[in-house]
Amino acid sequence: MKKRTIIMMPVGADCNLRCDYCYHNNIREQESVLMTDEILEKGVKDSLKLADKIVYIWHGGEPMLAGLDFYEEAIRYQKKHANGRHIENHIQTNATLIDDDWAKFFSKNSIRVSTSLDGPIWLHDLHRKYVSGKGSFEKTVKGVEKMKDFGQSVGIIITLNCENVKYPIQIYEELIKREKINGFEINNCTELGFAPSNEDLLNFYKTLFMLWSKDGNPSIHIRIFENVIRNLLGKKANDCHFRYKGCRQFLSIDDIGNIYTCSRFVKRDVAYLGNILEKNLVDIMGQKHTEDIYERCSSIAKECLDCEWLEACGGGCSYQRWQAGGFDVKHPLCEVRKKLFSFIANEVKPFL
Amino acid sequence: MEAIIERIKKEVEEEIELEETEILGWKDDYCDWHDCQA
Repeated sequence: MKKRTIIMMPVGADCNLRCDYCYHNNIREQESVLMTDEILEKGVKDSLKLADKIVYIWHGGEPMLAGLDFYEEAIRYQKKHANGRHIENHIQTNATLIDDDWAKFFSKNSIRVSTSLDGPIWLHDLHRKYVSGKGSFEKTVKGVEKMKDFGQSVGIIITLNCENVKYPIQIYEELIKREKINGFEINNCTELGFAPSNEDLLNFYKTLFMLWSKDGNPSIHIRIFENVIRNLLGKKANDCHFRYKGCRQFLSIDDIGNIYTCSRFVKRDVAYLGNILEKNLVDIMGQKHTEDIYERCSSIAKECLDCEWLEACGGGCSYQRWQAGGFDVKHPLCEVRKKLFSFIANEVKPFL
Repeated sequence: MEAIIERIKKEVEEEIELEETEILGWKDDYCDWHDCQA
């Protein structure tokens, strides 16, 4: 069975928040554009021809700005063009707009919701703010609670920045003990001025791992650690940024129909594949230009190919490598990753 | 830690069983898209 993940950006990078370290801050348009019905239907119809299983990730900016009617249409088009293919929907949202109607819709249509929480309110609100400067923590947590009321748990992503990285204990306590969240994924902020130091990052991960290990609760999932453990068990990581050539499963369609390898590259020519209104998506994916771009994204530093941790690391996120100077340079967090892999391997060895 | 590792092991075993029994023709979902096409 072939699987393909399509990142749909119905409002591009438009958002109701202005988080300080958002990687879309310098490409966000002044005017908001909503994906037209033509692009939506063509995007759904064409993408369903790419694989047997299609995973849609509705992303932004803030994808809920597209409105409930937009998603009702999207689901209608998916059903219309599915032709027996398996479809899965996820939405990556700041959750501030989730009310009863949205929660009911997500629940009814089995749309998995993920959001970002950077720790307790005093850490989250430092950088995740509305245009007015007001913090978003309370609304986000309210959205998470609303989803719980409708019987659905919400996936949590923590973005580690130069401030919250210093508080692993408080973050673990807040999310796991207080908010009763059963796990999370962690992204490392790499934006200039907000990225944590390597030393702080490693300390954070080691402390967090020990808390998780000490708790020993199997129902708590911390994906970054589980990616490494899966690798030690001979399996590939779940997340693209820990898989060699992990980008190849993805493509992104933005609000004006432009296609990129990933939503992180939106408005960046280096990963632009074409426009869905000009060409059929299957043809775009089959052209040499597309293959060349995916190949370039997948090219990692030569020294990585001989690294003992290649299988666990995969070279890291291609956007972050590109941002650091080029696709084929070492990932900016290479040293942290290697030390972390080694630390986890030592800790779990007795149990494997 | 032991309970966590057991849970991950179980998940991994179930994935393998699924690949072997239910998804004939499965290729790794990160495989080269063009190879998959072929």
